[in-house]
Amino acid sequence: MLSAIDIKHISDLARLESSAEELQSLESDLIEILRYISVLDEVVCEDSSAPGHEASVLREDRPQESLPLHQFLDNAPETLDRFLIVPSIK
Amino acid sequence: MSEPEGVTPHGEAGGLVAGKTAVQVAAAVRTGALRAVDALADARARIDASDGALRSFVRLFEGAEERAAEVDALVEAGHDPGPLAGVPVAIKDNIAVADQPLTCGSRILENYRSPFHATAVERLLHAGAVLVGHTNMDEFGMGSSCENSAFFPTHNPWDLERVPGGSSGGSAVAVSARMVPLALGSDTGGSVRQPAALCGVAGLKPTYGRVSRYGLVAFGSSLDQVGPLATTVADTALCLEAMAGHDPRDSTSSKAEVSSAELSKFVIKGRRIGIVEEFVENLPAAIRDNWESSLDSLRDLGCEIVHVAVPTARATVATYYVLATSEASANLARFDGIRYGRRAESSSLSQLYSKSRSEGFGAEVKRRILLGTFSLSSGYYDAYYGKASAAAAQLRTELDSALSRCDVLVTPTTPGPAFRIGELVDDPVAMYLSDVFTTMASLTGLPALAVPSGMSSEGLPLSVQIVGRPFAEADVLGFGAAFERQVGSLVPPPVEPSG
Repeated sequence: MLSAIDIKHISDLARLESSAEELQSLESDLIEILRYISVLDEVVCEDSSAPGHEASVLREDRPQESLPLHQFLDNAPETLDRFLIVPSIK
Repeated sequence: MSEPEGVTPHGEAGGLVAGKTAVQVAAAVRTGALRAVDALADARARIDASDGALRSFVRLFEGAEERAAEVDALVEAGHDPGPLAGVPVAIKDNIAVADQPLTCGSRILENYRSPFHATAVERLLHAGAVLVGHTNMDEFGMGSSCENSAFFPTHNPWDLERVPGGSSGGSAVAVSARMVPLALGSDTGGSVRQPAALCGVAGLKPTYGRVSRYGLVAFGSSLDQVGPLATTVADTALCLEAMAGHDPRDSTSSKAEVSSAELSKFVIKGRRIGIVEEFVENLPAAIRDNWESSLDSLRDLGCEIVHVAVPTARATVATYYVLATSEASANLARFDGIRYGRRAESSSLSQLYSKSRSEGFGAEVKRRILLGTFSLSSGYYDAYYGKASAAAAQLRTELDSALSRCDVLVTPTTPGPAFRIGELVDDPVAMYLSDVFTTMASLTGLPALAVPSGMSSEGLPLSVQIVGRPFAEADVLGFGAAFERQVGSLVPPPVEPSG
C-alpha cells in the first residue's frame, strides 16, 4: 500500500504544473484513490496471457484527401502564411 | 387531446413535439402532418422556457432553421428525408458538428471550432435529423454528475438541487425535460447509462465498435462509444440503427451487419435473465425495493431468472479507473497549446505545454491524467496497468461464460437515485462508485441499456441495466422494450418556467 508518491515527477511526466499547495492536495487525492484501487491486488488472474486485443486493422498507405490547410490553421493559436508559430527550442 | 402537465400547446395541429417520441415526430414529418421547422420551433420554445433553470445546453447551433426547412422541402417534393425526419436532436459537447464550437466542457478548447462532422452526426443528418445544440458534460467525459463542467453545472429536472448524472448529464436532461425527443451522449464507464438512470430516461451504450468513434473526442479509446438517450427504448433503437455500422475512418468499428431491432417481434416469455451474485449480495437500501419489484416484473413477463457468479465484478471500478485514466493520459496529451486550443503565455516550450494544460484543465481531469500517468510509469506499470488489463480480460471470460447460461444480465444501473449537487464532488472515490454497475459492460465491450424502473421513496427515478452478448443489441433492446411496457412510463417531471 502506497503511503507516498512522487507527485512532482508524475506531474512533470504529464506536463502539468501546480502550486505546492495544489500538489499536496493532488498527492493526497491520488493516495486515497490508489488505496481504493488496491482491491485489484485481490483479483487472482488465471490466464496470464495478454488481453485479447484484435490485431490492428491496416489499410493501404495511399494518400487521401484530408483536412484543407486553411481549416487546420483556423484553429491554430498563432500562424504565419501556411505555418504554425511555436516557441523556439533553446 | 390531453397535454402532459406543464406543457403548452404550440403551433398548428400536430405541431406539438414535447409529448411525442422521435418515432412519432419522424412519422408525422414524413407524411407532412408536422413541419420540421415547427418541431424545431417547439424544441426552442421548450428550451427557452426550461433551460434557464436546468442549464442542459451549452450552445444552440446556428443554421438549424435552414436545415429544418431543407427537410420540409424534401417532404414537399415527395422525397423521404429518412427515418429521423425532422427530429430535433441534442448532441453532447464532445461530438463534432462541423463549423460549430467543440469544447468538451473544458476551458482548454474554448476557442476551438470543429472543421468536420463526427460520423454519428453525419449519419443522423443523412437520416433527416435536425441538430439543435450541444449539451453540457463533465469535462472530457470525466465525471458522474456534470459538476466537472468548466462552464456550469446542469440540474436534474426531478429536483433542481440534484445532479443529472454524468458525464452526459446535459443530454439526459434535454430529453428528460422533453426539450428534445432524442440526444446523443458518449459512454466510457457509464456516462450515457448513469445520467439516463438519474433522469428517468432510456440510454444505450452499444457494443464496442458498433458505432464509429470518428469525431468523438477520445477519452478511453478502448472503452468509448457514442450512445443515444431518449424517453423510450424504441427511440434509442431508431437512433442506433441510423448511426451504427462500419466506418473506414474508425479502424475499431465493426463490420458486423446492422439489423433493425424489430422490437415488436421480440418474444420475452421463456427467456433467461442472469443476476450477478456479487452485485446483489449487498444492495444499498435506496434501491432494494425497486430492484425486487423489477425482478417481479421480469418474472411476470415469463422470464426465468438464474444466478451467475462473476468474481471479478467486485474489482470493476478499480480496473476501470486504472485502464480508463491510463488511456486518457495518452489521449489528452494532444492538448498542448501547439496546434489548437488554449495557448498560455510562456517563455519556453516546456512552459507552454505545462502552463496551457494546467490553466486549461479542471481538477478532476488533472487527477485522472496523473492517475493514468502513474499507472503507466516505470516501476508501477505491471502492478497497475498490467494487472488491470489482466483483470479486464478475466472479467470478459467470466461474462462470456455467464452469458452462455442466459440471454442477458440484469443489474441495477446505479447504487442510488440522483444525489445532491455538491454532495460527492470532494470525494473522488465515492463519486467513482456511482459506476459500480456500469463499468462491467464498458470493460468488456458488451451492449448495455439503462431503462427506467420506477421511483425511489423520495420520488426520484430509478433504473435497471440490461447487458447482452456482443452485437446482440436486438436482444438487449427487446428486453428493454418489454420491461418498459410492463413497468409503464414515468410521468415527465414538472417543467418549472424560468425567468
